[in-house]
Amino acid sequence: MIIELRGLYRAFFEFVRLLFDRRQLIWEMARRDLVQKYVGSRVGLLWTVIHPLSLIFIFWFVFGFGLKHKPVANVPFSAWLTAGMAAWFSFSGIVAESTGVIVSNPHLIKKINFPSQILPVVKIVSSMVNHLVFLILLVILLLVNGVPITFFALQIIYYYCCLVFLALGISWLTSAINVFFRDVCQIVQLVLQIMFWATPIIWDIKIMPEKVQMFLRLNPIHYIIRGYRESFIYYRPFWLHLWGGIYFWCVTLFLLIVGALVFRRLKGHFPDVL
Amino acid sequence: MKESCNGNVVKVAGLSKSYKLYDSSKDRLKEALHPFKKKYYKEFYALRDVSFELPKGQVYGIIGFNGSGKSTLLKIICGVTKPTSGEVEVWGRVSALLELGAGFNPEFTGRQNVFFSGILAGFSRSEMKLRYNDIIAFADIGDFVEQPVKSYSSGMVMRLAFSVAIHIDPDILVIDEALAVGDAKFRHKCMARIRVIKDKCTILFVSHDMSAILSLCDRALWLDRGKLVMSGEPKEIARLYTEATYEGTEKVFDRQAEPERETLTTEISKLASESTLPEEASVDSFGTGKAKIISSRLVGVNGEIKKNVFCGDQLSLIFSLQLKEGLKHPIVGFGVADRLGLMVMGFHDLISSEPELELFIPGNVIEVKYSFVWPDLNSGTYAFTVAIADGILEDHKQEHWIHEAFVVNCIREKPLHGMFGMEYSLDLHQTLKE
Repeated sequence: MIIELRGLYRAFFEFVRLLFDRRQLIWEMARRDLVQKYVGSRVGLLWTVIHPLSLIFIFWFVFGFGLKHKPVANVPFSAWLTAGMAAWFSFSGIVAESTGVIVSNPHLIKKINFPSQILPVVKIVSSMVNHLVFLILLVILLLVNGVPITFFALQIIYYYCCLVFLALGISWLTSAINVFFRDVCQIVQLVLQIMFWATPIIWDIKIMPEKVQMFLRLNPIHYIIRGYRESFIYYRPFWLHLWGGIYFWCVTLFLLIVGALVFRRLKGHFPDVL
Repeated sequence: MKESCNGNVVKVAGLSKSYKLYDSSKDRLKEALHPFKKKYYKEFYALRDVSFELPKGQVYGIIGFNGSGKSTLLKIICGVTKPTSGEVEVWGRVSALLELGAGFNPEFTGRQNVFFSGILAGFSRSEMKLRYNDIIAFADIGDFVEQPVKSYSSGMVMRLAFSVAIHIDPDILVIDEALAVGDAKFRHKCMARIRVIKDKCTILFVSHDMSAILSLCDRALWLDRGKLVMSGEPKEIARLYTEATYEGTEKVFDRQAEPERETLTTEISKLASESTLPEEASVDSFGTGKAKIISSRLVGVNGEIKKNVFCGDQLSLIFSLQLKEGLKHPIVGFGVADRLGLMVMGFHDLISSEPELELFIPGNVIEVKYSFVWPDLNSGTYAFTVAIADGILEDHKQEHWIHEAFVVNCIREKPLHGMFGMEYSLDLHQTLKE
């Protein structure tokens, strides 16, 4: 049993180390991914601004303007909303795109000796541009509304790491299983839809009764979303949520290890199934 | 690069690859994750217990019919798929031309794909910049480098892929029939380059082009139905392989049916002893019908049917004739035409100068034999046309003429321009200037 665990540990370590070894390839592919998305369209990279801007506008229009949502924590609803949405759309974008990433690259998997585990990482790297644009919009919104940016904003780096690791573990799992069971792609889309409404993103967790709040905190994404808001709006350090942090990392590391090992186990079958 | 052992760059031991035929891919997933490794599949072996070692710095040809496991073997050596059992050890960087444009993204330009391939092989951008001009110069596709690869002709894709493959310092270069789409000039350029780089790297080369195997390879491996039939001198293997090509083609595709089978070499000797008559079903024939050619066949010195002939082979063309009426001056003749139908040579002669022999009684079956030495013809297929006529050599009536009664395959090791070869010597004489 111990030997087996040690073997798994080494397998996981080597699997992850390859990501570092092939960083140039990841970088190159992420560049290509972005170029493929935007080059050739008229306004190019401007789309990365238009998409989040329109989203923020719609949610502001419906909830802030239409339904007259009151400011949360003395911050305009739109800014408060953007902080949460920045994290959520980064996360859901990575997971949704990564799930199909093995299936959509058969020319790499079947024809050449390709380290396929880098593909979800490539998606993460290329999604950083989008995320950065989202964060810049958030900062502009805050400054326009007279909300100061403090040193707490640097916590965003920590919370973004949380986001990346959680998304990566899930992406490895779903992208590998999707090769065999194409419905996974649809299921992931559906689950993400539900999660968007079930996670306190466009509504404040405090509107729920205490019992339900306990239950909602089990959702690891909530830890990230709350973190984003605390960095920009509530100015609270992350160590205030010690148990929340421990719980989050337990879940994330578990998903990351399971995702990596399942991916590694299934990887050899990819060229035969695709 | 790891240190290679005993000068080998590839070592394959007991290699098998079975494709698991699942009824659905759900079964495949269930099995991969099953804690007790329950089986959900039917097995099909693409490779079965293949072992060999390839020393450094040689060119290996791999031959075999379609479906014999050649590509699977190359894929395993390149690390694209994993073997089911057995061991593969490969020392050094493998550069592969497995399929046309594999690894190229059709949406990106030639330039971007060159860089990407290099980075995929582990080079940095700046290292690729140094090589870029050489790659483009060798590929020689002009302004198309700046165009997306999807707009390329297959020849251009191949040129670029080959150029990249040889410029990323491979220790092992794997080429799977990719050269076939290049034009003669580029193919020549590739062959010349392969000869140059073979000092530094080992080349594995799959081809159905026997002359390429013969002219390029130091050793050949013959795979049949997933098994290594034999390995050794390309000349010997090419000969046995071409013989098998004509004998066993129809058997190749029912490979799932037979579980085990003895090696093909024994089958070839068996086939040689069987004297099958050449098919006459679909041949053109005409004549007055006074005499009939029942069969005609080309045999070697031991009376075995010849399907493959080499220059210098002692051959006999045997006619079995049946006479319905007496013929005064029976003449038998044959012509040999190349694949374009051009008559390369033709002979006819009186069977006997004495006309009234006992043999020519109607109803008798007689055999007439031409014996000759196969001339130095270029490689290719040659069709024999046979005929019996009556009359004199200058003027005769065809009694039975069978157009292209059977076909043989001529193998010449050195490629040749034109139809015939001849013996020659090449001397050098230098005059010194004062």
